[in-house]
Amino acid sequence: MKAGPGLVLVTMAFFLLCGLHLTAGARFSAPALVFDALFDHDPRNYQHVVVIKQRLTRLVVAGYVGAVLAVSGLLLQKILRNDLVSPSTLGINSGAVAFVIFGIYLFGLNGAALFWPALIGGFAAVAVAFLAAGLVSRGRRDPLSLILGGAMTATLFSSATTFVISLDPDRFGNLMGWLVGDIGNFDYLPLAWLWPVGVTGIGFALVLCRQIDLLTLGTEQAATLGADPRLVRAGTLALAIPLAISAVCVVGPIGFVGLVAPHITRLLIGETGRPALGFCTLCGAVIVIAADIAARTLLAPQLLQVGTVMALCGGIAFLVIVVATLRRRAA
Amino acid sequence: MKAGVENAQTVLTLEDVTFGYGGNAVLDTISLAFRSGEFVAIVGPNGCGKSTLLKIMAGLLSPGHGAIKLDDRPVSSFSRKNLARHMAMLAQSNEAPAGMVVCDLVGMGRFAHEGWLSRGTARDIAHIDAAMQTMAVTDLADRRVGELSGGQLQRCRMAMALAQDANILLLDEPTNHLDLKHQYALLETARMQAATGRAVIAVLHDLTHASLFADRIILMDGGKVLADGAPADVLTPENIAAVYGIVTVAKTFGRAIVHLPESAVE
Repeated sequence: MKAGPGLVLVTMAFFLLCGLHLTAGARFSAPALVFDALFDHDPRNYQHVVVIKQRLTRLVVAGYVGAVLAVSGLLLQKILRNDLVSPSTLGINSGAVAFVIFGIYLFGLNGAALFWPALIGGFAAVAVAFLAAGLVSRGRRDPLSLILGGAMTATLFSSATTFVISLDPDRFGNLMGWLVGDIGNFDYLPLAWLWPVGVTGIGFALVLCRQIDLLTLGTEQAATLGADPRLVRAGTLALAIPLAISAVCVVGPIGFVGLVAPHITRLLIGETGRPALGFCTLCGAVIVIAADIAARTLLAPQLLQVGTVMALCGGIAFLVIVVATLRRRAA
Repeated sequence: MKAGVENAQTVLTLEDVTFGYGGNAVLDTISLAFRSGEFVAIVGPNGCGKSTLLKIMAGLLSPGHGAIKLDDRPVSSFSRKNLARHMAMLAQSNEAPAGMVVCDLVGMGRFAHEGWLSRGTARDIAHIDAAMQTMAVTDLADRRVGELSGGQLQRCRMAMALAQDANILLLDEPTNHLDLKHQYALLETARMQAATGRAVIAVLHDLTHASLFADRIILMDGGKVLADGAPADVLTPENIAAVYGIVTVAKTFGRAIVHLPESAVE
């Protein structure tokens, strides 16, 4: 597929799902009612309030989280030249969660201030994952060893999280939804602080896109074409990690969007150029919005956790991708 | 003075370049000068340091000792982008994302000439089209890298390096992955590039290819330059025996020098 039609298609899918998201729920709202709630809002009409306060806010959160995780995953996959990495498979999500829990337990942090320990946790996780992968692969470049390192890192930080929570379970009782990754009705509050991270991150990613594309040809080729590989790689990591962290701070560790969205992008329009980045952004938003619709309607009126829905679908997708990678390598 | 005339055309010089990992010297006090308009082949056995030498010239590795100068300025003082306007390189590893479209791949060669906003100018497009025509990959423009054979990809990557329009062209085993027809076509292209006034420096495996196409051959062994000069002066049975440890008989066909093992000829 060419980039142009691909972008049109994903934009249409995005608006379609946005519409579906606002109408679907425990109780179906007619499109006319949604339209009124948006453009002729009556604060005394309970159904209008539901559409705005419970659905539109969730829609914005789902769209934001999907978009930034997808871009983070695409950037990581491109600079590491490894189709299996993503914020979740590298352990970034788990690292951020662990450091947030430390921040709460040790320093009593809350709200937007938790972005900082989460960010440190994200960078720490990447460092640990690289270290572990280096020990496993002993210098050979092997896509699976980095994922193994990431899995070890995730396990390590998750155990640390569980340990700290076990020291004072009551204090973390209201965080259970966040710990598995869920969109709550008040998640738009931290997003009001954090959205600039996503907007500037994606903006810089668009600016750096050309250099990052060069890096996909290998370090030496990129350097002789005129890019500075170390600078580009460091800069891209400095974009990809905060992007993912800003999502984790809002909804907790929602996995696999950052893995699957880049794959869909690559399959449909390739990974090169700014159109692919735009496609991936919208594709990530579409995935999480769809997951949120599923979470709210599958067992309605009971709500599922978006993180659980994503983990179920994404886990299967991850398996398929790993098997495809192994097949390709065997061929 | 003859040396003065030669110096006027010299574009790249290496002065006493030494490079090593740990205690092992990979390159040992190498001094060379490259002039525009010549096609130089660097040959030697595996591990003799020829690829390392090319990477040192491209500024990918820093020498432990010595200096590399481009137009009398140290290579290390150039930014990567500025250096790429003077020097293009076809690296040995041919990795490229499977989803990348060929015309985008070739277009990567223009990066060094692009500004933040000025991309895909008429000049860029002219260079990309010309490079694709030269490497006979125009028909592949809309194909994805994953659909190409190894040889097709190698030709597209060569087109990318040509699109860079640099005065110095470094080629690291450029005939890898190519079948016979395209090996000769690529080497012919390299010679044509030198004929238009560029300095073309290629690491080659095949001595016959080197003798057939290069103006000058540098024979390396154990990190040192053993011989440097016209093909007929460098590819002697004595030098081959000294470097490769095999007794050969040299047969010439026009420009080509073919070394055959003595035992097989009798």
